Amino acid sequence: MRRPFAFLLGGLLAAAALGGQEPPAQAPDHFYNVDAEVRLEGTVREIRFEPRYKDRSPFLILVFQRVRSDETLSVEVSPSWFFRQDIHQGERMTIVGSLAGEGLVIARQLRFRGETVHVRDRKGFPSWGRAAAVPKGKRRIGDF
Amino acid sequence: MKRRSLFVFFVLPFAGILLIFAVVSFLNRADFRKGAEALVRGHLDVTARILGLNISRLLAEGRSPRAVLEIFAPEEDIYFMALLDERKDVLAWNSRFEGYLPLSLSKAEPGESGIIDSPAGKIFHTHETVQAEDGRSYLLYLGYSLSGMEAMLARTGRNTLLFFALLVLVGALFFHEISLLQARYVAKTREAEAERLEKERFREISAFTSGVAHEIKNPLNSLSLLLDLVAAKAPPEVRPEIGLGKEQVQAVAGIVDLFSSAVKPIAPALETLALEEIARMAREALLRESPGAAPRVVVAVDPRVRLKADRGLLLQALLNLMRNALEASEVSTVRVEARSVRRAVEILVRDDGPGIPEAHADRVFEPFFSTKDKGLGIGLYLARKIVEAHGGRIEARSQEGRGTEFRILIPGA
Repeated sequence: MRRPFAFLLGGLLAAAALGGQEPPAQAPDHFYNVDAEVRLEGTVREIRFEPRYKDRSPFLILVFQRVRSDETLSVEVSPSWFFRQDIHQGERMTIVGSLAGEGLVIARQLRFRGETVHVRDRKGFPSWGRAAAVPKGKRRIGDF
Repeated sequence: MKRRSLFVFFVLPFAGILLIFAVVSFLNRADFRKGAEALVRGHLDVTARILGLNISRLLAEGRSPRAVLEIFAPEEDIYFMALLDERKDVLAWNSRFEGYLPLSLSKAEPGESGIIDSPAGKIFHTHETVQAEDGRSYLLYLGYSLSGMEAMLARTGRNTLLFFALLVLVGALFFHEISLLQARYVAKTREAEAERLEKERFREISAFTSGVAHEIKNPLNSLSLLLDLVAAKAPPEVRPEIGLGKEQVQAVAGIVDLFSSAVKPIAPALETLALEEIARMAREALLRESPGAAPRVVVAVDPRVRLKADRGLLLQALLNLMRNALEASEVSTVRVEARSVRRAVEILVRDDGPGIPEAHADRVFEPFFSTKDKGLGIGLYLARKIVEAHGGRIEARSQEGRGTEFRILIPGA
């Protein structure tokens, strides 16, 4: 079931709560590495909203536990305002993404409850980026 | 023009023009895009070289790779950049889009370049070697897109489409007008053909009637002469009957003459005439037929009104109209008026009789149409023929119970 507004509201509340908070310093390999794409199956253990890029909205982060493993990974999905699906703790899903450092995955595709959500293309271009690219003269630079 | 001809001569060439326009536009656009891409590549090469030199100098000053790249991050046309060491480890990078660095380490070689077709447009990328002053070598990975190029290409496409639509619109309007013209032309052709057929039929009837009239009048003349001879030798008491017989023969001859003149083509011999004189002559002729009607027939024509007409034919037409008006009722009065209207002359023949019933209004000028007991239906028909032969027109306006007005408009002198 889709509850985009509920999720969007959550994102906005999180953004308000995190307002003014600087993103943590990130490693140089914090980018969507097309050579390091992985496919993960597991369960969502926690849902967070964290600032990831300078001057950008907080991102939806999933704390993800792989199947048959105690290891948890941090999955960077998309800006909270962009992701309009409903995710619950304990949700089982398959994630296709890129390893971007120790315990971090940048998601490209999420599959859960028979639905597939694309958040980036195969080269890692963010699905929300086209709109951001259109206004000329407004360069939005990430931390890296 | 037939529909097929319209298609072959107008639609097909126009479709050809549209096709040529579309092909030329497509080729131009492809050429333009190719040229623009070459331009961006050139820009990228130069930018990468300049950036490489600057980065080399800044690194030599002891700045960190991250700090160095941050200096160039606000560049409008640079979508992303990364600095790699000799082992191809990413030391620092930045991007216009979160986490977007389409770097494949397996292909990261100096001089390696390409185009990425991203949702934000084409991104040109290259790998440039940066030689630091301390002898270390770096690889600069640069993604570049000439700002406005995609917008310019899109604008060109839009303009082409707009012009194409305009061309189609103009073409559609043109074909619409051509179709209307064609329809009008077809209608006029049909009308002319119908008129020609009508004239042809009339000529045949005319020839036939003339022949019949000729064949009837010859024996009638003989009969008239014979009656004269018989009257000369006959006893006085039967002469009145013979005279009556001769009158009937003359009446038949008169009818034949009338029919004959009705179907004959009219060729007026034009001369400049004073209308008043003709109208008075018509009045006199009418009064000879109806001697007691003098007070009922009024001619009020301006003596200055002149026109070019055939004297005999105009007299005949006026006489027919005045006779018709006089016969409208036993007490009706007839009034003839005329005036100059620009280059024409307007003649009005009015009566205050019972008027023409609405059902008959359209038929009064038809041949052999009459509502009178003794009428042949030739008079008004002949009047119309004469007026039209002079390049004029005639119309009847009537109100039942209030009289009738015949209006003639005929070219002036």
